[in-house]
Amino acid sequence: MEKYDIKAEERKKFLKSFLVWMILAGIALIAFLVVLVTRKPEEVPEIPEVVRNNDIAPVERVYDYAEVLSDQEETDLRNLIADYEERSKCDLILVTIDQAVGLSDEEWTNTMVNLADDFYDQKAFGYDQPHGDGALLMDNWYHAGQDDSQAGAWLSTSGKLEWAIGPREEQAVWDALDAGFEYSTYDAYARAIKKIAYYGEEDTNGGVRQKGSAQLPWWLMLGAPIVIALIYAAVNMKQKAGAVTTTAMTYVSGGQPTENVRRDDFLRKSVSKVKIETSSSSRSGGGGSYGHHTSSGGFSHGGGGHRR
Amino acid sequence: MIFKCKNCGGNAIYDPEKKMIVCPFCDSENNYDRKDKETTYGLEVCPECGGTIPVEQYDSAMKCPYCDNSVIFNPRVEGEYLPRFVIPFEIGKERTKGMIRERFKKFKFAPSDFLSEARLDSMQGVYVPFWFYDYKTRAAYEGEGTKVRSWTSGSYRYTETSYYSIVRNMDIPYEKLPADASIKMPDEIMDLMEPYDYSKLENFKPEFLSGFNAEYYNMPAEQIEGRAKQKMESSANSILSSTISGYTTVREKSKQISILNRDTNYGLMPVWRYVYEYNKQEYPFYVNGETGKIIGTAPLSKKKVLFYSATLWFLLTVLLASINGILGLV
Repeated sequence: MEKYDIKAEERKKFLKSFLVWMILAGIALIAFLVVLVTRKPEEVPEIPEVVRNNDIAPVERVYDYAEVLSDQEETDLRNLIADYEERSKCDLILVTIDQAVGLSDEEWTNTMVNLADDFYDQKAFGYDQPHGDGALLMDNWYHAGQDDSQAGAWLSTSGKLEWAIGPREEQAVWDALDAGFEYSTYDAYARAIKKIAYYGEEDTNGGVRQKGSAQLPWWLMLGAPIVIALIYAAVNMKQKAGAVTTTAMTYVSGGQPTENVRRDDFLRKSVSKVKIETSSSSRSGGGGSYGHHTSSGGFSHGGGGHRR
Repeated sequence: MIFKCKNCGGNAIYDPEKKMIVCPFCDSENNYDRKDKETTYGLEVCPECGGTIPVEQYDSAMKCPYCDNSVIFNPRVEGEYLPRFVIPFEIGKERTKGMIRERFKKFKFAPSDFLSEARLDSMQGVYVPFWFYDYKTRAAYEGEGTKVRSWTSGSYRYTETSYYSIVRNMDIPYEKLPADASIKMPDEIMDLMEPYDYSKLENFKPEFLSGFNAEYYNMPAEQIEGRAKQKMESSANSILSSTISGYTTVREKSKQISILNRDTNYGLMPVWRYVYEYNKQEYPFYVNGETGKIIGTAPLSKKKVLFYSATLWFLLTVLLASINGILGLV
């Protein structure tokens, strides 16, 4: 009989458990050391200071055609926008309208996208250059709160904001807008502007990726190994004493009972009917992301809409 | 009684792998004499060496701790204690050790000596007393089932419910429903050891006990019949349920499971028992001596849990930190 060597078996078990991880960690560590030793002296790239470079576009940022804001609110919004434009290096424009754009989702979307994109293009907004970085929030108040409401907002993005704001970010803008409407129209626009500016601010170096920006966040570095180790321990601690391996037939002599009676007799039948309720044609939640497209002026835009 | 090798006089024992009596000293096969030695001092005194055997109330066979002879206590395997049948050990000790090692080899957190030769060698083969119950049962069932059909027509949704009377009556003969008759053996563990392969049943011969421990039944059949009845009723219910299908809902009106005829038999079943002691706690393992089914959970070594988890944590941290370092440099 072959001798059972506890130590050898324990070593084997340990190595089998971690060999792959040891190899991976070893390779990564060696690669890191090689990069560390062989890298050239650090050249700190100069991040160009982004300054406003657009003399064509008007200075006005708040166009309250629907007259939903007071003069004071307009002034406050202009100041707020000026502050956030400086931070995000993006032009931020608010336009309110009270105009029929179509009741169906398709009509509404097509009209709103054209209105918003054209407004941006015709006035040649853009922080870094005409038709450059910026976003325009167009809010339509047509028959708001009525059955035939065409109210809703459209966000037209351009330049770096076109790429920084995707469907998820757009939803965050709509959430901010809706949350603000709980208080006031001014609050809604202020919150939406801040949210849009936030996405521009995230990329203020003009798309130049800084060294180390792809590094894993510190919480992931510390937390992930702990969580994985805990899961590993919990999974490997699980044991089952044994499973039931008998069945209902295990002790039945001959493996089959004798059926004396097996009857399934029809007794009666009943039929009931219920009227199908048709839901009213609510259009809440229409709009959605429109994706990247080219406006009639030939400029690239992103964005999406949000009906209410 | 003791079985002696005719060739060398050593204690001949039953070998599960060879399925015969062999002498572990001279390897003689089926060459033995039965010595019905008895002392006047009772069962506690070894008839071979005179040493004191720690025999307990229900022991019917055990090894003398002094001369290592396997002693079978005649009065406890005869007369009212004579088993009707036995399944002899099919799996020997060495094979059982290998099976336990195989089962737990992937379990990382067991103490290092859990599968050591010294520890596993303490494993004992025990013939556990069982009562076997034969029942001729009749299961009768009456209920009402519904089948529901739905469809839409115009602006209405129709639902048709058909009602059926369900009647079942069947005879289910149960043979050898087992219930262990040993106080030492936990009932739930013995239930998990099932099933035994009854095609291996043999008429009882004391030779099968030589080399193993054994007990005779610790209580009469009537005392533990409730367990057998419970198994029978659970099985009958499942069989009845399996014949009722195709209904949306079923409402039971009456159900009766009655025993028309019953019989009981006493037999011995083979079990390997390994008790591992760790941190002043016993961890028993049971292996079906016929099928090799293992029941039991290994103890957890906190040191090993910590060591393995910390190793993984360290390796992952090194891996992530290195990747992070590379990303930071390039």
